[in-house]
Amino acid sequence: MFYSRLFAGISVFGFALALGATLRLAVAECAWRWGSGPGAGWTLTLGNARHFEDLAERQPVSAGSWLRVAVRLNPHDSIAWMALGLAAERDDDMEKAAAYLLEAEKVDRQYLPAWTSANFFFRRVNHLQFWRAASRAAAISYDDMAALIDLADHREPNAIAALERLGESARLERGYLHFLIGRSRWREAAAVAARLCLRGDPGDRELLLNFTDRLIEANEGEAALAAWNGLHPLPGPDRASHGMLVNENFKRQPSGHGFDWRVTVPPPGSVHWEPSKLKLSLADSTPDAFTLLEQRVVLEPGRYRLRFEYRTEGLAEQTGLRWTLLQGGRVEASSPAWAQASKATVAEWYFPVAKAGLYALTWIYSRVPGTTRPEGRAQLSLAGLEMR
Amino acid sequence: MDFLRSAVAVVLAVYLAIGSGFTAAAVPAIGTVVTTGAFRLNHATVRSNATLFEGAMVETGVAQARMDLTSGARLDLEPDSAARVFGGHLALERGAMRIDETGGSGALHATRFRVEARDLTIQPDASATVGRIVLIGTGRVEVAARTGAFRVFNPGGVLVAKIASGRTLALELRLKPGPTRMTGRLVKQDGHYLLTDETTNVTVEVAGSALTEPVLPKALGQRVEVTGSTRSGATPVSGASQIIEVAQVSPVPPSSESAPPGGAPAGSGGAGDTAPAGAGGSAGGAASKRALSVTMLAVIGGVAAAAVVGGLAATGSLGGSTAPPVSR
Repeated sequence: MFYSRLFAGISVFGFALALGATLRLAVAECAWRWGSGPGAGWTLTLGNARHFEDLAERQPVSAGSWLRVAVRLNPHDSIAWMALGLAAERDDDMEKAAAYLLEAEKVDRQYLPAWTSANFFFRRVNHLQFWRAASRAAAISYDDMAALIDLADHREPNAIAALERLGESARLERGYLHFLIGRSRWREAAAVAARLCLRGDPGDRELLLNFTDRLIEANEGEAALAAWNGLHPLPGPDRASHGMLVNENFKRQPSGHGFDWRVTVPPPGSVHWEPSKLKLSLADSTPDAFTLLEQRVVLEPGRYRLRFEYRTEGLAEQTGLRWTLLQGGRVEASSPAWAQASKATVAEWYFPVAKAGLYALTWIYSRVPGTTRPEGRAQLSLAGLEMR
Repeated sequence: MDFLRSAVAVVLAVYLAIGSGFTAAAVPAIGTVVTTGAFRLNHATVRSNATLFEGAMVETGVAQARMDLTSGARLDLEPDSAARVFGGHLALERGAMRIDETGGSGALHATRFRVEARDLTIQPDASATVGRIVLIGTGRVEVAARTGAFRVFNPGGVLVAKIASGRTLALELRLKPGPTRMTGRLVKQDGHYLLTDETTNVTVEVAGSALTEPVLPKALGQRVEVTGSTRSGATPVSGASQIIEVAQVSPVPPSSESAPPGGAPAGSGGAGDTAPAGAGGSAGGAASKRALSVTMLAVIGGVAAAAVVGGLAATGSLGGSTAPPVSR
């Protein structure tokens, strides 16, 4: 008897709940259709703040009223607080806008409220609050920081000063580096890269290598040198300096980045590296002129000697292999075509440099007129540069 | 020594304080952008809202973005659209946008805010202009005025259309400048011959040897189609935007659809018949049921223009246009 009454009671209670929910939805539907004012909110009090946010979105004229109902229903709804803040800003009520946005930050410690506040205080030229909110956003950002960095950059165009104010995290430094590279602000980018280098995170190696390449492309030789050496802090064959070649004995496989050798595979040929040797195969359909190997080097004015060891097999007497020195794509100096060498042969090429700067030392194939098309191999085992 | 240190510290502090103030003044924001979803700002993904600076590139995804500019202009960039925003103008690069000025009082007009779309310049002509601009296909621009009016200028700054409230016009800049072609009633005013084109609502002064006996007496006061070319460097009479050197004048039979200059154009059905632009979905239902058509082709200033009945700009439909091409 007791259990059947209990069951009946629970059933009635359940039905009553279902009826209440149905009625609530019906009222919500009516309010939606007929656009009832905020006074209708009392019928929808069970945490239905989202409904009023939708209304605010659809009825911009009365957005403020709807949003106030939304935050009354759910004071932890940061989206509504933010929308309220932005609406107040539109209405030129800056005091309320600031209060609403700060409330959004208080109830929601994620990125969006902090980002919204940072933007608002930027527009209000409130430096203190801007940097507070921006640094908070930077600390909790989990995705693309480009927009935040762009905003901070508009306030503080000195990247290092902005970084210090934002919090100096590795993520931020990476973001700033990308940002500065995108705007070709090389000097500041180099300063940020140096900070990133000091952190010694292997995960940043590729970014910094790419940065070095970009500096080289932009003809920023000194900055590129500094960035490259930041990746190679210990003395050794990988460190670059003025008038010196990196990896001159080919002990390491050319990386193709920065100041290391950049190898181009001839279209139908091949390149094979083994410690201290670089072997290039040329086929008869290899183009008549082709760059096989290249290294960027920062040179001071003076006379230089390139000493190298090479060997050829199957190539014509006049191999067509020669060294050239380029700056900005223009040939500054060019060696004669080297003669066939069936044994490892050491040769030297002297060339002058009139102007300091970033140069490309290239080993090219350029068919000598009257010789047959190449079909053979060439090997390089040393290439050292020194100022004489 | 202590004094020197203190002095240096004070100078540095003042420099830092003032320096950051100067920085702030140097890069003013031009407005805000708010959306319910994510969008791209200068190619970076942003959620919810952001501050706009001069030349900001805004690209919307599934949600539209509302831009409130400090100049008072209020603009909506529709979903899947892209625009570059400046303090005084917006360059629409993809999709559609609405000019919604209800938040300000004559701000667009006062600041001469303009929209650039495919080399055409669209400028609100009235103090409370609300309308919609849509890029269609590879060359067409549709401009719909819901309230107020728009003036459209070609790249040379020549007025090529005046779009009155309730009207939609399809415009297309021709790659090769061809002859001007206009239709309207030829009238004489202070010794000058004027014609207001029924499609573009632009008044021009017409002149030339083709406008003499025996054509002139028959054409005056009648509805005619004129073809000719712009007389460059000449100053037209007051009220006209340019002088057209007429090559041919052809009578056009009076049409029941035709309207007097300055009124609703033929084929447009007048302001009341056109779905209000900017109303978006609310207007779309009824308007989309009407057959979409382009009528009353005019060519002026190298821009082909046609009134759009049940215009795409009004319905909000961007795809599947059944309208014939504007240019011929």
